[in-house]
Amino acid sequence: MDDLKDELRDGLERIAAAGSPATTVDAAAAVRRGRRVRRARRSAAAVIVAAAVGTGAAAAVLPGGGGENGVVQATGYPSPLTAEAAFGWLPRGYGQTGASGGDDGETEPVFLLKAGTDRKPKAVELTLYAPGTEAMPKVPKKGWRSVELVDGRVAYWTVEPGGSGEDAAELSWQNRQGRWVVLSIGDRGIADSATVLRIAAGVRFQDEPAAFPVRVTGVPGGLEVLGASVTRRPQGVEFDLGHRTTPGDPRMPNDYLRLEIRPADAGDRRFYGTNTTVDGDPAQDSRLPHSGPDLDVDGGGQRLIVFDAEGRRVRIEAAGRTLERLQAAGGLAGLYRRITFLGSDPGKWTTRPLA
Amino acid sequence: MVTRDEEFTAYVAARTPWLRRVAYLLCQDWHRADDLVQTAVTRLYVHWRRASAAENVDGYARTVLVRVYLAEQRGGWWRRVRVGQAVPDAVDEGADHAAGLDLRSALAALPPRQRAAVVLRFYCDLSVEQAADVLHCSTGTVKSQTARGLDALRRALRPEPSEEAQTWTT
Repeated sequence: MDDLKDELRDGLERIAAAGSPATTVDAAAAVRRGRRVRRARRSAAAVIVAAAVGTGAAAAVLPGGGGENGVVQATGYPSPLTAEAAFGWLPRGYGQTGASGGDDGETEPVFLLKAGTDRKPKAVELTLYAPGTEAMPKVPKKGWRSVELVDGRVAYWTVEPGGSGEDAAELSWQNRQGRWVVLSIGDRGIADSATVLRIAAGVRFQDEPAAFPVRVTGVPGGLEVLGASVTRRPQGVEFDLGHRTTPGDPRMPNDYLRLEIRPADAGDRRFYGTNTTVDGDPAQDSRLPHSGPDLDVDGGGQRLIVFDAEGRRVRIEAAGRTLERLQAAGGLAGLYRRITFLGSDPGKWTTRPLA
Repeated sequence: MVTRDEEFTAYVAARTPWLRRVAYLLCQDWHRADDLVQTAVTRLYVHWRRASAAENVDGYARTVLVRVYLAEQRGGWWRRVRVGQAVPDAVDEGADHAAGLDLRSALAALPPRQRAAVVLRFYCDLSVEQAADVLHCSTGTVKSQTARGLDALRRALRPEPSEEAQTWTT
């Protein structure tokens, strides 16, 4: 693979350096257009601030934040994530740290299971591909070694233990249902053959709803869960709800809701910049002027990031009809306030976090 | 004293060739690359006070460019089909022409985020962590997108003999 990487680097250099037509990029046009954008933003900000002052709002200057006590009509959602696999054995000090499912909008859905330690929470990653989907390394490189798993199945070392790449070892096989499984080891301390094979042999395939450490009420109904993830160490969740044009097609980018909760990082506020507060916590509302980088919100939607909410960073993005429905019930800040954290004891978590 | 606009214009003049090359690797079309860069530098101007104060202005500009590219892909997903199937611009008739076309075609066939991951890692020489910041995703996603992209490129550029493929699937 290293040869390929070198060849790729050289090839990309050649392609990029090849002759090209004269550029049409116009810095002066960028300045003219940029000035118009800045003027428009200043005008919009003035309107928002004036509205906030007019209603006596001291904080949480959130457009569309109508009736805070309103409740979005929700139909309730089934479990957003099925734990399709579990580790049966892990090295001492290791534990299951997270699981996610869905796709990123352009690849086939996969179930991803993570294990590790506090210092290396993603040291072990198991990817379970959808039925009928080929795993990434479907054609063996010359010299790939096969090995028999305890269940009689043949597995392949797609990265030999002790390999020099980003993964210290990688084993791929098809489970009894014919689904491809890829076990990646990122910790060289456990990347020996015996350990990896023992982890692989212990993997159980199942269909159990995953538990989440949060409950969110008032989530607009009628959306499809396109992706979900949960991590234990550090604790975090992500939900991605939206629509597809038809099953299997790419998602529609103009009507969705994304919710992400992660541990707060000291650098977050500095990187994103803050421009409001929600319940006393510093926040950034994408519709207000801010000093952070120009991060687009898909579909012309709205983003709210609340920093340091009891040690968490909560990020909510929505667009289209879903955003309109949320705005009728307190806006993104309203949804933020309808999040209940269930603590660190997995026994108190819920498999139905969205209602 | 150099004004803000003069400073910005000088930066764009100096770095447009580099930004175009990155954009071209992402979209495989010089005219579209120009459009992407034009949009990116306009956004750069809007945030020039912050961008120019950044430790790495090039990194800031590259991040804006990649996100403009990905946002365009998301906003017009139907266009990806056309882009993926388009014959890349033929502009080089050098000794490596055939190999270059193979790689361009293989690159064009990658889904946008895989292509962006490959370009960021192997053309821009970004680390996994840096690429994750640009793509606004986890390091694990960068690794998987890169690995998938590399695997697809390898299959396209170095097809294995059919016997081995049969061995693998049995």
